[in-house]
Amino acid sequence: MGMVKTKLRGFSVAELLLSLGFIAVAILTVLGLTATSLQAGREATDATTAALVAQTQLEKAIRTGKDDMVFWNVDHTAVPYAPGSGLVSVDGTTFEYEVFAETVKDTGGSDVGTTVEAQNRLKKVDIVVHWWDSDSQERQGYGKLEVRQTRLVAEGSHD
Amino acid sequence: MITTLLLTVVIVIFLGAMLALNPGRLAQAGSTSDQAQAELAAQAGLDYAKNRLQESVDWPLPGQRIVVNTPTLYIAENEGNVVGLMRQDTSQPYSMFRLRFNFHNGAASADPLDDGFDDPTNSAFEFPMEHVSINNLYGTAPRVVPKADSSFEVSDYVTGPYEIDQGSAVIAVEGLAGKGMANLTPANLATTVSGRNTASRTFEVVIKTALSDPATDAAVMGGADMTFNLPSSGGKEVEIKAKGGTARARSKGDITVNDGASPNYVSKGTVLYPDSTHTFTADTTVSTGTEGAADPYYTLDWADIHRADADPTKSVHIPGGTYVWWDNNELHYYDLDLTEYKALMSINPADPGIVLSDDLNEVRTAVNETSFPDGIKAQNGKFEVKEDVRVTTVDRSTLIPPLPPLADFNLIPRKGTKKSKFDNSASPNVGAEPAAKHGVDYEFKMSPKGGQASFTADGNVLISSKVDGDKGGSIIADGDLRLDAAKLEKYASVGISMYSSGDMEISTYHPENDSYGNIKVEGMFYSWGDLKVQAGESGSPGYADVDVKGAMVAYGSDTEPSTALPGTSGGNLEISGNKIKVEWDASKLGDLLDKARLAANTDLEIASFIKH
Repeated sequence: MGMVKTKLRGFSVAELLLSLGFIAVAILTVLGLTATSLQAGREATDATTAALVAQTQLEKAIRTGKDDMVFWNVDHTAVPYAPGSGLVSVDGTTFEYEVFAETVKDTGGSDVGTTVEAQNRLKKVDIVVHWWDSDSQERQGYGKLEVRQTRLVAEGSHD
Repeated sequence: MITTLLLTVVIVIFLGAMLALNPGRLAQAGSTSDQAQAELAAQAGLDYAKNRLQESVDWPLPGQRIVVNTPTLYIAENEGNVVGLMRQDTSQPYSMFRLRFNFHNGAASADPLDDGFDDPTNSAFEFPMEHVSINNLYGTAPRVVPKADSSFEVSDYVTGPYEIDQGSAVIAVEGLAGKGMANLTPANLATTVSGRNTASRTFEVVIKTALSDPATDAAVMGGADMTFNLPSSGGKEVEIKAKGGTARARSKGDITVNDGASPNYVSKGTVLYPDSTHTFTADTTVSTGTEGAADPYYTLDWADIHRADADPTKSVHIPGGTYVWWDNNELHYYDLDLTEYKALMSINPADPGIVLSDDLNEVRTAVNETSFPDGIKAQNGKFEVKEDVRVTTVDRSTLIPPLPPLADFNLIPRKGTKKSKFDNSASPNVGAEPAAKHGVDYEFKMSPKGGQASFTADGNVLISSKVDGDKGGSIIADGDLRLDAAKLEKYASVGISMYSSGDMEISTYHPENDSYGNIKVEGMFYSWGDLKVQAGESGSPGYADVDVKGAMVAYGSDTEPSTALPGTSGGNLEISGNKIKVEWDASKLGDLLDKARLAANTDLEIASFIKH
């Protein structure tokens, strides 16, 4: 009785290379996606933090400005209101914020709310928060790295 | 190959997860920012409302107007509804605030619920908000704060979740922000874009007026000595309270509480007096402090006070003189002051003077009567003031012999009047006329039609009758003010404020019964001189209670200029009664102020703040 010889055949070099190629592409894709994901996550975290920074710093600036005649008497549209501007670091990210303010005028050019009492003005107060070094430019893939918020503030307001 | 395929599957799963998670994270970040901006928008709307109310307590007025129109801020008002669009710069989307005073229930003229507005002329201003703002800053009674129904119409104004006091307003403001408002412009107020989210925050805030005065608040302020007289037996105590603040009594001189219970001064608060005599027994919750001579009191200048206008087309005008109720309920006018009237009665007690019709047309000009046909009524023993009434000074220089100008106003029964058992000096008790009716048989009533009415005299004022008021009424005397009010109470308190540039004296003595009536009043009592409130006296039976809500000030100096220190000329404050209760209430402090001066003299403060 003759023995049946089984012919074992290994992977060809081409197959091996193809598999390694697949694996390499896969690993690189996963790494790329992970990096992208981390960056997106960071961006999302920073955006959330920036919104909170904006809210907090805006309230701080308003609290300071309420009793500050410089805040009320000076226009802060070109040059930011100094006590409301600065830097703050949260979890390794540095956020730069600037507060702008202007007295609200009616359609006739008069300060809103001041027909009886001059010290009853209304200010439109804006805050711009930006982070990393983007300033006003956009970085590819991240969108514009800034948060802007706005509110009105009544002079002499007790809140 | 299998390994490769497995790896590919894993990669696809990773890829799917990444694609699913990243937008979620980014969306979450965007949502946080939108929520924050929506909250800021609501806050902006609140501050805008406060700014406008501080400027005018009547805000908002009917009509349509664009208030602000710049590339980054747009605010428009339409029949009581307000919308504001704001953004940091023109590259940004708008966020919005909106609030509604309009009930969306039809034309104002046919409006049974009386919001005072027609429906908005632009349907975009009919906001789908269930919370409604109510302005009761200048109201004379509490108001229900209604809620809109499912169609956002206020259909039931009788019941509501709560009421706000007069002197208060509720501002319900909604802030909106987010990608759902991408198409928002002043011409397109739609707040939703299909498939995109809009963040919304609503604030419901009650604000109230507070006198913007550097003075430390107090229920009673006396420029000189402060004296409370209680009965020697069976009496109770002096109670000083405060609604929403510290209960204080402030005196520049001695503080004395005579007789009464023990302790005879109770308060969860503070008594302030200089380092001088004080005589009272206080309960353990009372603390004491030092009152400095230069510490200010409430300063209400003559110019700050709401007075009837000198123009006869702007207020009812009646001449100064003595007005006398006869027993048949006819009102007779004499162009005489009280002394002259008594002298006349001693000579000719039957002199009828001028018999007046219900509208007093015999002593009013035709122009004035045409302008205010219903502003004043004297009928069936009731003298009713519905609009501002000015007592004008009578020029008597052409009389023979000439007499001095007559600015005083006296309203008395023919029988005369007494402010206490032992008072005979000022009791006309004129002639020998057999008049039977006393002051208690007549009534002086303030019934303001428009929320505020002032009875103003350029001289002394004496009123001897029951006194009633529906809140918003005030009696102003550029001289002494004396009220022989036989009755000065009702179930829900008499709403009236009083102001005198001389002394003020209020008594509820009832000569027929030889007793005193209770005093239950809500308002502000402000005298440049002394202030005396008498609901009892030693040697006379029948002490009655005194219950005042608001504040009582005996300034003790001319308040003009307003830098004059209190207590430099008088300012004694004396109150007599069985139980004396004075409750400080900030909402009453502005009752004397002129509407046009309210903004300069009051601040708006937040009383409660709810975030929905």
